[in-house]
Amino acid sequence: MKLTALLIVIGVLQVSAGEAQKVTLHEKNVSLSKIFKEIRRQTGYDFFVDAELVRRVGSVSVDVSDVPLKEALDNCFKNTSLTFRIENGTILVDEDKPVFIVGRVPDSTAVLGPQKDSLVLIRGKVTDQKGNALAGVTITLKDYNRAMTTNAGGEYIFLAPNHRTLIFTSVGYRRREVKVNGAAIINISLDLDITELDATQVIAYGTTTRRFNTGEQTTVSSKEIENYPVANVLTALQAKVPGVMITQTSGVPGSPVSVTIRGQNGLNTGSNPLYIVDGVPYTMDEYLTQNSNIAHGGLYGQNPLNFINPLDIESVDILKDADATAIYGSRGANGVMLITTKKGRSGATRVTLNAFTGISQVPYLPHMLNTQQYLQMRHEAKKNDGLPVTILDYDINGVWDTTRNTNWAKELLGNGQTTNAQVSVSGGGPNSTFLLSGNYRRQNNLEKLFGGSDQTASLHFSAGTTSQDGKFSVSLTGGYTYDVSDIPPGDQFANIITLAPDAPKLFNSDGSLNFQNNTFNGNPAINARHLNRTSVNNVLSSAVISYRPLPGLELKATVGYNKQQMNEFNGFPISGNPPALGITTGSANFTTDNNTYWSVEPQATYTRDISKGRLTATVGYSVQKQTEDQLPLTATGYTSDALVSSPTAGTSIKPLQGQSYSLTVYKFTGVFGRVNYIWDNKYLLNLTGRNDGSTKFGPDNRFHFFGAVGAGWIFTEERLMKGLPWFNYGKLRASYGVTGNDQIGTSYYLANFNSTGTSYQNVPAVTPTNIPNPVISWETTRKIEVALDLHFLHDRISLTGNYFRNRNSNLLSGYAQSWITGFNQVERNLPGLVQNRGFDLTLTTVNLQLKDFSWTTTVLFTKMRNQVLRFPPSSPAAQIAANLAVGYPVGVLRLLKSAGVNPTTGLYQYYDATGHINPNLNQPQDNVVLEDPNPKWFGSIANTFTYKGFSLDVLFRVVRQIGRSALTQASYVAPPGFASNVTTATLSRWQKPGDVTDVQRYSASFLSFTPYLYLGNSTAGWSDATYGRLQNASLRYTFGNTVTKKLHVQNLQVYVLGENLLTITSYGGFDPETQSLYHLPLVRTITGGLQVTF
Amino acid sequence: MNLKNILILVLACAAFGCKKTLDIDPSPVTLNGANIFSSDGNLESAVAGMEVKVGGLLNGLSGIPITMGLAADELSNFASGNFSAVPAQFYTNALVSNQYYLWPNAYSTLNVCNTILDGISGSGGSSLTPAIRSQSIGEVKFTRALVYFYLVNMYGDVPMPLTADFQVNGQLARAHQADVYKQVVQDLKDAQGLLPDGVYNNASAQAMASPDRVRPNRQAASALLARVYLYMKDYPDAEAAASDVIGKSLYVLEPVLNNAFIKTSREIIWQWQQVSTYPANNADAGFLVLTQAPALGTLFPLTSWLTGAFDTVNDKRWANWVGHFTTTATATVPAATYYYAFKYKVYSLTAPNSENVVVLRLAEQYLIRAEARAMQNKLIDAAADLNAVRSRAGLPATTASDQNGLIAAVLKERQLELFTEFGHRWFDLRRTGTIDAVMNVVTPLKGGGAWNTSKQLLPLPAIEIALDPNLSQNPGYN
Repeated sequence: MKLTALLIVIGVLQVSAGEAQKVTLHEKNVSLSKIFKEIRRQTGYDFFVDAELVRRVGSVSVDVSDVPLKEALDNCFKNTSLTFRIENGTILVDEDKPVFIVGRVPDSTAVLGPQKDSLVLIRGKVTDQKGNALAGVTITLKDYNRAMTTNAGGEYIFLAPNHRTLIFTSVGYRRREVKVNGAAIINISLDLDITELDATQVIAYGTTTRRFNTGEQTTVSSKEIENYPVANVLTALQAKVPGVMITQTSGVPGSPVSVTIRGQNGLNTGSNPLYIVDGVPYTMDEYLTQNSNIAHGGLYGQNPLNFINPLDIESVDILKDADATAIYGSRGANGVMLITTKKGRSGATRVTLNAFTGISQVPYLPHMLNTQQYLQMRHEAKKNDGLPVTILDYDINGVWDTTRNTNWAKELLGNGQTTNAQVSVSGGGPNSTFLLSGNYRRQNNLEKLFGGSDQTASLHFSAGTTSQDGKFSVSLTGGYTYDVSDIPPGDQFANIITLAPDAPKLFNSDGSLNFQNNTFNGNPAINARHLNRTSVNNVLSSAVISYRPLPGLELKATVGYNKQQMNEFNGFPISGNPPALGITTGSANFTTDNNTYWSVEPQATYTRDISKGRLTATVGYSVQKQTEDQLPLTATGYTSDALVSSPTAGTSIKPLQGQSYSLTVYKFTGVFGRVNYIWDNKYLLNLTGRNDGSTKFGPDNRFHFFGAVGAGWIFTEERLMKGLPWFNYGKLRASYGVTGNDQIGTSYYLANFNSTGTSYQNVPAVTPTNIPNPVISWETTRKIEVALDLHFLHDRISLTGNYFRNRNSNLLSGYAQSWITGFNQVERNLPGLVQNRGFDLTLTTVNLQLKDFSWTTTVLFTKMRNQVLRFPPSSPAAQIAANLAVGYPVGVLRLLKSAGVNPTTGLYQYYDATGHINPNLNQPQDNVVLEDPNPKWFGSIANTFTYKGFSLDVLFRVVRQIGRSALTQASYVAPPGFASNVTTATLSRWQKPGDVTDVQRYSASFLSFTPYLYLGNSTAGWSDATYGRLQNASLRYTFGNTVTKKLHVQNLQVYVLGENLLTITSYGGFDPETQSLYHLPLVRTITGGLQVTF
Repeated sequence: MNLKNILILVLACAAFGCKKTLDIDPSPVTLNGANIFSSDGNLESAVAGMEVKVGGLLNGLSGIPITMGLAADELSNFASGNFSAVPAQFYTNALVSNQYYLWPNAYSTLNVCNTILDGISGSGGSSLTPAIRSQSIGEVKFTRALVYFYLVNMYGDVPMPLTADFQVNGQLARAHQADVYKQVVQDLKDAQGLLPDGVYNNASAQAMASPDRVRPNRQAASALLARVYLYMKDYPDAEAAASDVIGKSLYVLEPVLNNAFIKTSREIIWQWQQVSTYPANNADAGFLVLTQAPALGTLFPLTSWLTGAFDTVNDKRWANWVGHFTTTATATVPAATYYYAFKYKVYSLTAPNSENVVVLRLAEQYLIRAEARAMQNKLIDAAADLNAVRSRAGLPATTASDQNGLIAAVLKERQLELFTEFGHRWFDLRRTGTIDAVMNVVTPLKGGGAWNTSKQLLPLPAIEIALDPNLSQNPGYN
């Protein structure tokens, strides 16, 4: 409702009768609008008038009987400054001095006098290229401060001086200018805009356009997000935002996704960006779960954005530099993601149905030894060690059938299926809008051996209304998500694919677990008997109340409430144990997590034109409270498997081992402000600031000021450049500012004693959890940004380049210290310095723009480097202990220098710090090779092709990096030679003295164990892991008018979406993105769907 | 419009309430620096927390009994996999300085002890009930002595923090063993004076006797002191301290061997109560008692050196405290029998609590006094103490008659009586100077290569040396 219609139309636009009609009025001290209504009733004439004028005039008195319309009107206006004109059955009312001339008039010769007869009443309809009505298009009179918007049917009416120009703008469409030439009807169609220079862009506490934005920000729209059949919007952003690295950790739905915007800033502080959903801060912490099924293999946690349906998102704005983020003060350091959910639009009620379904598969699996190779390995290991085959070597001593050859990956994996269905209803009148949508999503477990699925149901709504006078508006947006997963806990991916290929069947013919006479008690299918039910309820809501008491002033309050609740149940029934263990009772874990957030943010914005410029000033206040509690319980002593899901059916309920009930309360206040000045559409200045307070710090260190200055110069507005037809837009911008980070635990400034969850002789036990640090305070990031935005050939080519340098100081870190102190670290602010520096480029070109065919390409490239510039104290020992090195990135790899495989012994060998091959290594002192594990650069190429109703989007992504080598990924649970299978990469192992190879000999003894354990921390354990990935492809077909008319639908589209389609890499390990042995590799998903709008 | 007024009100409030809104308690469910030592209940919870902490040293995979049993000639290792790397390093006497081993557990326990002692002597401590105050100080000093005793025996000279000041402690150098022993003796003497004599306090320490011997009392302090004096070769004091325990009728050598380690055993001087619910009993049993072939789990059967030392016919400890497990023969591999420590019977993780971790028991006191008396040439008294233990095991009186013979007999008896308990075997070998002779044979056979005398001490964690400039490494680990 920002583009408030100042003009209102009373009544319906229709011509009914001549001017000679007679009117009778007996009104005393009534408002003009009442009189207008009465006249309309008697004559059928509509009035067209500025509501502001009606208000200003106040009350009038008229007493006429049976006089012609003109005379009656003269009577009405005789004591006012108003005049009128009758045209086409409409009465136009205006001031003697038309108010539309109050706007800025850049050219003095064009000043209009009160020439009423030069006014033209224009009506028309605005459509897109396909003829669909466009609602909410803003129509402004060029050079004047007058604007209105189209109604739900795309219609508008405008009173404009003749020979002037109307400007039509709408988000996502190219701006169009039309000169008024006496014509009464102007119907126009708008072209889709690619560069969106003038589209509204959501920023912190307000909006702007790309043209005038001084900050660095990337907007990803729903159109792009819809091409990804994913459950987490972050996955859809993966290769779409320059400077942002998003990494998935596992192929299992709902696994953690890591996001870093322009690198890791701190040493130990969280690097999560701040998420703002519809103006309300959303949790940035991952939900920690007890079991690892949601995220496999040692990953515990669910990303909070799993609980916001990507299809409900209208746009995601990623804010990066200080100018864009400093207004968020303490939480802006890691960047900010503004998520705007879909809102209703005025117009006829539309019902949209969108459904897709498809399958997921693991695209490639490790090549494991077959039975013949496996047996060879085992016997060779025994021979190498000089050890006999023992009674326990069931895989080779004849107990197990050595003629079996099972491909365990095939036993484990099946097809995953994803199904998603959404219905949404939206619409609204001139003053109100609504949207209601419901979504259901189901993804089943790819590991068919274990079964289970993850299901999500969500509801999203938005409703808004504006008062008749446009001064007051209220909107309410919210959603509810319920997610439930019953995939058994604990991923067995590694355990199953490393089973000996001659291992027995997992299940007996009656379906029970096969323990093969106690020779197979480690049967990994035991986990299929374990139970899980993890459910999350998420309620999100925000309300915005806005009031405009004076022209240019808006008072607004945003109130947000967000509640998330997770209930987790993991059951371990008796039947899931080998009988030999003698376990006669079952157990179960029950965990409840509650997170509640609320925030209130009142703000005031004042806009005023000063000289040749426009000033916008915003001040506001923010208060937030976050309460989190977690109750982990374990119940034991179940004698019946049927009862393990009941917490009270066992013999005892206690806190889960090593854990206790936790409750943290965290409060936050800030005063923020922004002053923005745009001079002559050419020079831009933006100042932001925030004074923030957080209860994470002691009373004396709670408040801190953050701020930034941003400036821009649109040099193509300079007289010199204006004539260049091929260069339509150029902006140079720069910003500098300070933002903060407080992502640490809540009360390090105090000595805390937490419950251990256990008791000694029935006295509940507490132990100290930290060394108190009363002076702990904010971590700050100083950000510098210089950027250039260039648009050529009427936006056919656009190029944005950013250089950034972020320096993080006052580093919050667990500072390593000796255990003699009781803890191996103390949380404190270190006077160190961490720098992230780099540049990124975005190039968008419209390669072809023909009648039926278009081709657009977007290329992103990011190169950045993370470096610790200073770390005190500078002693190498302290740096080693903190796993840091000055000049190297945070998280630097310290590796032993590999000396290959000893040709005589066949064992891995390494150099010590003095450069000698040494079997007795001191780690980490001997780890002298330093490597950067972060990507050197990354980028993507996205192509969009459209041909008639078809559109094809293809996105290819490249990451240049190093990763864990094939050698370290060759074996999972034990070195090659023990009773677990390994990959075929080990076949080139050392076999006899004199062999020169890089794979250690097969061995099943401890002497070979230690050199093997060093491998992963050595130079041989890392290799190039660069990859290119066909990340996403989508093909859509939109049916034309003939089909939609026949089917009586507004819009009909069918589509196919593909995710993770192809990977090109020379990396010999598994998935180069997850680089993990223990997690299911990222899956390939192909879905097909249908979208219908009624 | 009413909402308009509300909006203006909110804006107005914003201008003021800023600072006040942040006046909140950090966490309503946490005890923090200001309130911890001001009430009896809080102090008791902190002491209970200390007991929880020390438990990590007393049982489990990285506890003293298993690690030191593997290092010596008591336990063998078949376990494989990354999880078992640390047991393998102890077993092969191939310890490395990039491992922490027992160091962090020991020092974090000491930090809790020192924090409590500092806190009680601080301002809040004056409001405490005297009985609770003295029980707590006694219990903390007893625990501190226990941890230092093991630290000096595992690491040699060790840093000795006696306060909780992390700025001081982070820079400490290693204290001489003699000084550490001096402090241990002092703490135990203090504990003797503070803890109840001949009774066990219950949780709330209100002078109510408890049937469970899980809170240290005066005799627990005396028993540990007797052991400390023995190690210090102060035999008269060792004898006196042991007599303080043996003289109490509260303590009886359980005639039925299988009752010696259950939680109601009358032989127990101090047992650590298992605080975990999973397992609810001595965690060692899960690693010692074989229910399957040892290679299939992290399981540690007894070595042939230990089983070979038994008189398997007459010694009732063989029948009662040693179990055996026989694998099924196959076409190519004959059956194999493994012997395992069966002092603790409850290995199921889910079984209810019936056995705790027995740290101090009467049989050891007899053997301490026997050795101390033999050393003082009180041969008849020494033989009587030794025979008390032998007769309970069903063995005839010792045949040793001279001093050296009697000392040797006591040491052999210690091997058989105290096996797999708290590294007695390893520490006996060290203090009697016989470790090189034994391990020269054993270590190569365990697959650890040649024994070197420097291996009798654990390496200090290399990172600790990097962080604390005043620390130095034990020889052989650089």
